[in-house]
Amino acid sequence: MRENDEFDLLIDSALSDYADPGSQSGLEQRVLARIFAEVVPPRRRWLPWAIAIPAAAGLLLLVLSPQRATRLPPGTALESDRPRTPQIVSTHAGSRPAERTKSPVLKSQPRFATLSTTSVTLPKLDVFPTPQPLTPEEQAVAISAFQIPAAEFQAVVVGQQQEDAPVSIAAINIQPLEPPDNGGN
Amino acid sequence: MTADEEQDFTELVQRQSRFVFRVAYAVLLNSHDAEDAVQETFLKLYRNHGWKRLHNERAFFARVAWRVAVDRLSRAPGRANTISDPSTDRTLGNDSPSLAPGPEQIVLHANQHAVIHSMIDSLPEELRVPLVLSAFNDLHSREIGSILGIPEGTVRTRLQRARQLLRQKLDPSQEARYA
Repeated sequence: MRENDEFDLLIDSALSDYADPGSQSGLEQRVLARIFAEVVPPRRRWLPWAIAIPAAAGLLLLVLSPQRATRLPPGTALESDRPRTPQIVSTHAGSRPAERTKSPVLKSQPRFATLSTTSVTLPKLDVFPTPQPLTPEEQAVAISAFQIPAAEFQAVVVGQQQEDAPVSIAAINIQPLEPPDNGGN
Repeated sequence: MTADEEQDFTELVQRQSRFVFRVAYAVLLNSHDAEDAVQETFLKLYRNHGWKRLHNERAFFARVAWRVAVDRLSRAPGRANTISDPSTDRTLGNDSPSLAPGPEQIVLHANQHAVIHSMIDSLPEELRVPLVLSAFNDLHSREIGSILGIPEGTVRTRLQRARQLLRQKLDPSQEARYA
């Protein structure tokens, strides 16, 4: 009987660690890693990247945009920094030759500055329509006019200066139509 | 699943995975198969959220692990649930022990637990599983019976029979006494 008790103690002692993998076996970590790898849906795997990449791109833009503004050559300011007064880019021929010769034409403007010229309003001119140089035909008429004889030129000038006399027109008497004698149309 | 639930599940795995492994090993007698059974057990619980409403964790996990292990045995019919030479498949022990014939030599052997483990492995499954489950203090015969689907009296009988067989293996002189 005492021998049986010793055997039972031995069996119980052996049963206490039967099939025990031990705490250092890493079983728990392997189980958790496999479960989370199988259960976590695939869409969540790229979700962190979908958030991180736009955020990084935004940060990059924020960092680089001030540097880009400082790199512009002096004298070429941004559209928002420019004065609101309109600038003359080009004018038509015949008006204000002095201004035309001084018209500022920027040769090294930034790309967005050329686009902004569409919004520049042209100054109002003194004469409308704009004076144009005489065409060859007009010049020929002018020359011929100054080459006519003096008597005829005076007659034309006097004739233009005379006032037009009132024109009297005799009253017109229109008789009404009479129907035909036979009564037909 | 929220972060708190994941934390609870992680703690549950850390708390019960070794126990599930031991139950699965008692059926499968192979450490790799037992670990696969542990993975399957927790994966099922994770998917059906059954782990959130546990009253008796040990009994619940013993039942699930035992069923998973038995299912794995049935899916692999070539694998016998009782092995003729357990020492060839035992990968948990420190060394593969040689079965010593006499009790004195066994007791004096440095790996006496490993020897007894091999003897437990050689028991029939119907005796081995109740014996392994009885090693946990919080599982009584009634709970073991509900886990295995057998009456409590049958559990007691099988436990007595298992211990008797182990005693006979430890002391061959008793074999003639009980024969």
